Amino acid sequence: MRLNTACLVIVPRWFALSVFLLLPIQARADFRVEQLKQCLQDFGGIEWKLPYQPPLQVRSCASQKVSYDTGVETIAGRHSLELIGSLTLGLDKGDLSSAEMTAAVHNAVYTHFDAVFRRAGFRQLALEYGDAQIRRDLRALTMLAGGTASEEAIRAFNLIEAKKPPIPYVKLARYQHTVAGQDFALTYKLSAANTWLIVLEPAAGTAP
Amino acid sequence: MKWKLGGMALVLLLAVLAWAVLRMGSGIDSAEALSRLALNALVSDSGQGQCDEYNTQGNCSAAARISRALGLLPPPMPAPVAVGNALSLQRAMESIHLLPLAPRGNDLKPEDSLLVRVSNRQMWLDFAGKNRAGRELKVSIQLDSAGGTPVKLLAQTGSDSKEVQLLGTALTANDRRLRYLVPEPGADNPKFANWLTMPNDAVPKTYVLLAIALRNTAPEFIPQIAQVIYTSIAAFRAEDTLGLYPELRNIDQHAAALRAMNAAQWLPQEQLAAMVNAAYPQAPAARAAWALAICESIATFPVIDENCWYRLTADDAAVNALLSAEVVQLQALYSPLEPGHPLRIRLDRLGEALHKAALKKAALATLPVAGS
Repeated sequence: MRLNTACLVIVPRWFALSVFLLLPIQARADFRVEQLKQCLQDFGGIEWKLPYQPPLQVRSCASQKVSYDTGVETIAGRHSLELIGSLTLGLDKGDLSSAEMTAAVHNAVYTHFDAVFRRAGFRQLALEYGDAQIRRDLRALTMLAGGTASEEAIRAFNLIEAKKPPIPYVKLARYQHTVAGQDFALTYKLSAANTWLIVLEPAAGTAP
Repeated sequence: MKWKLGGMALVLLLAVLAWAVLRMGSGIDSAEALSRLALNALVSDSGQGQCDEYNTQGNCSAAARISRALGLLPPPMPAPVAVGNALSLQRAMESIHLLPLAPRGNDLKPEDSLLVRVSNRQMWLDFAGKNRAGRELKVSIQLDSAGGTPVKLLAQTGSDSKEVQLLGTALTANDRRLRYLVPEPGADNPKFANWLTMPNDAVPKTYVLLAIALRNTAPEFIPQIAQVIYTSIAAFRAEDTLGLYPELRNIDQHAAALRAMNAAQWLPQEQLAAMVNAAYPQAPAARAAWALAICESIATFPVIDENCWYRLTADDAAVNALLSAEVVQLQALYSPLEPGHPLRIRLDRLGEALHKAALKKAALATLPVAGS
């Protein structure tokens, strides 16, 4: 009898401890996932998909209602999504130089989101390109190496470097979409080497 | 009348004393008695509070020892009986003078490794002792690989045996995920069993460490562990559950993780394929990830071994349909990229492997059957 009673007391204690330890973690994870889900659902009617490659993760997502990992409220009518990932395509770069690979990554990300935005009815307004080409400066190289080089040699070297063809990639794209008579502007941009920012806001001159 | 009652009481008392002396003389003489004693020791040592309401491990183990010394049997417990973890069993058994049949000597194994007897893919810890009459007593405890959880107790005295289901405590890692107990390969029995910690993307070299540990794992335990590992890598981040990524990205990612753990070397290819087909009958994405992990090499640029790919996927219509649809969709999406772009090359190669496997299958299907 005593043991039976003890069993009833003990198992819940053991079980309760597990539940106590694990539930908050699970609840927090579920809450975060729900926040992200809401933020993306509320984002200009875009059916969000992240690229096949490179592997990107959502760093933050903010709308007027939901803030996922931003810690700040966004201004009225403005939505922002920040993505972060590695500058690789999960594939060996083969014959590509590191500069070409960097451009390949950025262009893959842009190509993916361009398709996502167009599918949602956004019209592209403008594109800005960056150049991934690496151009070395002989003056800096010699200073780093602790050596010296003549001004003439520096000029000749730097001229050759300057003539290297650009390796273009899309660093900024602007889109517009009209919903119920209101214009929305969407900006896709490379905000840091491996961070992409997508902002949706009422177009200038329209009420939020 | 008074004398008669007194005499009867005296006779009764003498009878009880005689019974107690007899019991003390023979000690534990049945599997039932041995199982109760062992369970009492396990429950007491687990700190689960069944010994007394103010129990500490010390006085509870002492109570178990006294029980045995006096020949007093603890009452039976309803199964499954809640007990401690795999690392607490030896101490509990020693408290009732049952010693490991295979004690550890001077070895270089990790401190928490266990010497287990492996029988029919089951791991057992065996303890033995003798009762007062010199009769052999044996208690074996079965451990589940997941958490090394004690799941069954088998008490034996001669040909008499008694089985009791246990509800043991699982051992977990610091991130609260289960650790897995797996025996080493080889014909020795008993053999060492070591603990595996599942991959954690926050731990550097997590795949490399696991790959090294798996090289030292008995092959018959690989299928279960392989599935646990796959489940573990498929659920790294809660955000992954939102369906934000193309299926091929998830498949590639899981394949890359399996490849990083040398999954292709865990078992011979046929056994791996059989395991995958049996484990994921309703999950073509999982089967596709395993197939890519086994057949695609990424030593330089990703290359798919066509023969391997054919062997693993030719008859799997669901995998072919899933991958073909993904490849076609992504090829269309990335068509604005220049032809030499790594993504286009990778997608083209996968599409080509799928196509060649389909052609080969069709060609084989049209060959006349020998003798017809």
